Amino acid sequence: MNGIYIHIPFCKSKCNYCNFASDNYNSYDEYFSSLEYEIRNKHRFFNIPDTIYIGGGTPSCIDEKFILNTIEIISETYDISSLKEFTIELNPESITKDKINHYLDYGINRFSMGVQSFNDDVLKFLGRAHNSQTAIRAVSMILHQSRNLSIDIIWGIPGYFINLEKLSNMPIQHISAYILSIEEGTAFFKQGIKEKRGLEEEYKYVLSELRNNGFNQYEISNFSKPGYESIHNTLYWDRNNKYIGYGLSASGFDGHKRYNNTREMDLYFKDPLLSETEILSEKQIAIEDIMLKMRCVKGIDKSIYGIIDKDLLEMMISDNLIEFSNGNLKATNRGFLVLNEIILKLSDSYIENLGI
Amino acid sequence: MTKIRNFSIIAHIDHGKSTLSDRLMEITGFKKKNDSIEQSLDSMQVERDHGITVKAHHVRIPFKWKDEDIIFNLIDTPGHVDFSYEVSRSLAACEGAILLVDATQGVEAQTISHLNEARKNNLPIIPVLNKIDLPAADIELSGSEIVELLNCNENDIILVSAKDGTGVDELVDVIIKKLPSPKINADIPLRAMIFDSNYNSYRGAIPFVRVFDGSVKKGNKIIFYSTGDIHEVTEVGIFVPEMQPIKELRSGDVGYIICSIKNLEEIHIGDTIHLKDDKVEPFKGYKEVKPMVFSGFYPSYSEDYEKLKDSMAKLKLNDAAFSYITENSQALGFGFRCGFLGLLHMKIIQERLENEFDVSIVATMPNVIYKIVDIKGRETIIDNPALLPDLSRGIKILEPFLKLEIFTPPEYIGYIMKLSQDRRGVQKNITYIANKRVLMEYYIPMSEVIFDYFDKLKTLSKGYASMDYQLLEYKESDLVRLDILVNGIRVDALSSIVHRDKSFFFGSKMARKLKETIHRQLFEIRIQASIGSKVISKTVVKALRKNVLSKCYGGDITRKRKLLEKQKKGKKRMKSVGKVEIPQDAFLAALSIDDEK
Ligand SMILES: Nc1nc2c(ncn2[C@@H]2O[C@H](COP(=O)(O)OP(=O)(O)OP(=O)(O)O)[C@@H](O)[C@H]2O)c(=O)[nH]1
Ligand code: SF4
Ligand SMILES: [Mg+2]
Repeated sequence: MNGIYIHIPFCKSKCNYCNFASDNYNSYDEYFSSLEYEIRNKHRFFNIPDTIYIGGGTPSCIDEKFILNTIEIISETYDISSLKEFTIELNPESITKDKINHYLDYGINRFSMGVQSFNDDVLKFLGRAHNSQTAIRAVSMILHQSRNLSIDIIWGIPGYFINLEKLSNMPIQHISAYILSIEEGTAFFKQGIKEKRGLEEEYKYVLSELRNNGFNQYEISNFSKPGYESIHNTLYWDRNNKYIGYGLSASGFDGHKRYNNTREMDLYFKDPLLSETEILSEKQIAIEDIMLKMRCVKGIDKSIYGIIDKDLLEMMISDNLIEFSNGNLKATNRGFLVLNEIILKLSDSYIENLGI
Repeated sequence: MTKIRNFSIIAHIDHGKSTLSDRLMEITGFKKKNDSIEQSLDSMQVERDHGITVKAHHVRIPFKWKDEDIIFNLIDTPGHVDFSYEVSRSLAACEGAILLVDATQGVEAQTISHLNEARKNNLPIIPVLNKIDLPAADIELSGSEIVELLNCNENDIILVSAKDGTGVDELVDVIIKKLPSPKINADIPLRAMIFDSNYNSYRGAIPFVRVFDGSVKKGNKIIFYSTGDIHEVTEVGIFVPEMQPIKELRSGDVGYIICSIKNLEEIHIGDTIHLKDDKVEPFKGYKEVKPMVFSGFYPSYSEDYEKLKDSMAKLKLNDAAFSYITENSQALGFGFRCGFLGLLHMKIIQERLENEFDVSIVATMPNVIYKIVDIKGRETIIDNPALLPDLSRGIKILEPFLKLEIFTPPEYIGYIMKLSQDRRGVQKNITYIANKRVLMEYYIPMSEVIFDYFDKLKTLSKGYASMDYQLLEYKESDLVRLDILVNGIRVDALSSIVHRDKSFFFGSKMARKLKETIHRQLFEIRIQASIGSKVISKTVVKALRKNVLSKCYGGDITRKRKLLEKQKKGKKRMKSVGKVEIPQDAFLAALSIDDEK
């Protein structure tokens, strides 16, 4: 599979938890001409994409002419006749019927909207630019025009317990449910806000509520109705796929090397082709492989877990952190909450036993 | 004729030796006045970091004074009790001593112990009262204490301020007038004593010597008496205080000899150097120092073992009081059991290894030496608590006891009695000296003194009490080995030996401290303190509840992997026991246990 990612680094305002390359810059013209230059001149390691994903930032917050023009450029450079999925990210406060129609006209067939919460206090706390009513209205507006909508929600917010009652009358197809993590460089981090402790109950609630509404978990934070798993996202988690990323902070992977574009706007303007290439060591490949696979509900297969110390696996199994299922080894729900530790332990043992 | 004066400045800690050394270097015109660097002889990073002297520093000061050519060979010595060995070696290379007393503090414990060392060497002593610029200076009282101590006249005492230079020129006069010239035996065969050494990566091991007889220069073939090794001299020089080459070191001089010594073991402090074809009488050397405190030093990263070993060998050249032998711990891997003169000495060595040799170290809880005696009366030395066998009947365990002398103003006597009693001390004597000072004498186990007794004493006496101690004997005590088990596995590096009466308290504190230092991990961690098979305290570090990054798409993968790699790196510094990661601080957890109940 081949995927194209296009990054739109503009937002109305900066959310308190956000450390994406995004801001309320207003250098649209300069950005999109740099982006065009990058698309037309960057080395392509495939020509027929299966998926396109326009993310951000908030692609919907800017005049759609920029987006539509970029899609045209893509279609001039790539053969997009066999696209299976074409997603754009939206925020509730910045969409209109017309915008959606334009997007649909240009081949976009999947929408991903940052709803984050149905609680106005939480939305305020997070620094979101919308309230819950706007979000609910936006959901139904899109559902009138499309049958493929995903929403993002955030749980694990200190002082709150998520409420997902509203989901039951929302015939959406996909949900990404993220735990709030407070990362360096965010407003929360600067304010000294601490991550919530004791997440088990809330996680249980999220899982059961989503299950009851017909969503299946296929990755640590991704859930979908049958047949609506995001093809584009799934492609990142398997090293057999390739992707090309355009725009600030975007990444690409040709099956061996990964490049990461600069996160600095002025550097990007100076040279839209500026990126760092990473050549991963065997160790790093092992860590990434285990990391990406263990995040998925499918888990890792015998070729990997066969190399890991038996007693370590047994200890983790008896602590209900991992389990065998369909011949694969996967994290349990409890394990998902401490997945980093699990990945570190598994990859340590794997690396040591392989002697790499 | 040039007059040479070899002398040491000795005093209790912080009485101003290094500051006075600065003034002496300036007033003689040897060094420009430089306000920005105080205590300029304290050149090692550890000395600057701690604001104390830890090594004796030599400096040769040639100058003209009242139309005479003079050379001072000055040695600035450390004041802290842990470095007394430096003081005694310095005094052995001198013909006189300046005894400095802080006029705001008066005579303190190391004033007396260092003075006694000078007396053993029959050195003339110049008493100096320092810090007279301070309003708190009590010249009369401190003066009377000195008169009593030295049996001298009040007007023998020189009053100075090392800070502003008052009285320092008078001191120069007195040094020239009162101290003898070294005996110059220039025309007899070379005899030099090694009093210290250092390692230089280009020039090998370098002995520092005091030349008593004859002379030595480039091209000479010299022999180290104790090993018989022969070397050709490639350079000789003096300390200014940096090393500076000169043509020849002669009788009376202090300096260094370079002869590209690659084998560090050839140099022995106290050894005699002579010329190849001569036969000479060797010096008696120095009294061997016995380490008092032991600790395991392990490389933080096990691959640094060889580097640590090499660094220790080099550092030992510059610190003969430090000793080490290899040891192996289940928890920590390969490392060394090291001996020190005290806790500060241990800290300084650890910092020097880290600063000067760039090796990072995990140190285990320090301990004193114990002895066990079996039924047949056979003695075994125990320098590592983990090695104390389970005591079966008839086996006795002995611990070292000290004679502890405390100097204090009378108002703190009550607190000191309480502290010493808590530490199993028995009061032997209490004497009033002069009218404002008391000497208290205790018979007390060394293990109760060596760790934080001094800090406690300083706190409860608002800094006015000082102490000195000597090892008296080994005596039987009711001691037990306290083990720490992590998930049922005994962690050898966390074992300690404690008095039975204190074991319960100590064990539960220890378990709690460990709980604070060991971070939550994937699995629950049970921590137990036990004596033999009896668990006396237990606690649990609950399993980690969250460590996950929930979003991970194209652009995040690199960042997420780097985060994981960072976490991995953090773990690499930890030592693991079973499946439990133990942070390095945990091995010193017991040090911060307070005896408040
Ligand atoms: N006011 C005043 N302060 C002084 C005088 N002499 C030394 N000091 C201060 O006393 C402190 C200790 O001085 P040092 O010269 O380091 O003392 P020391 O005896 O070399 O100490 P150790 O080497 O650690 O034993 C420093 O803060 C000095 O600035 C003095 O004559 N007057
Ligand atoms: S909308 Fe999304 S990209 Fe923009 S600031 Fe908020 S979280 Fe960041
Ligand atoms: Mg000093």
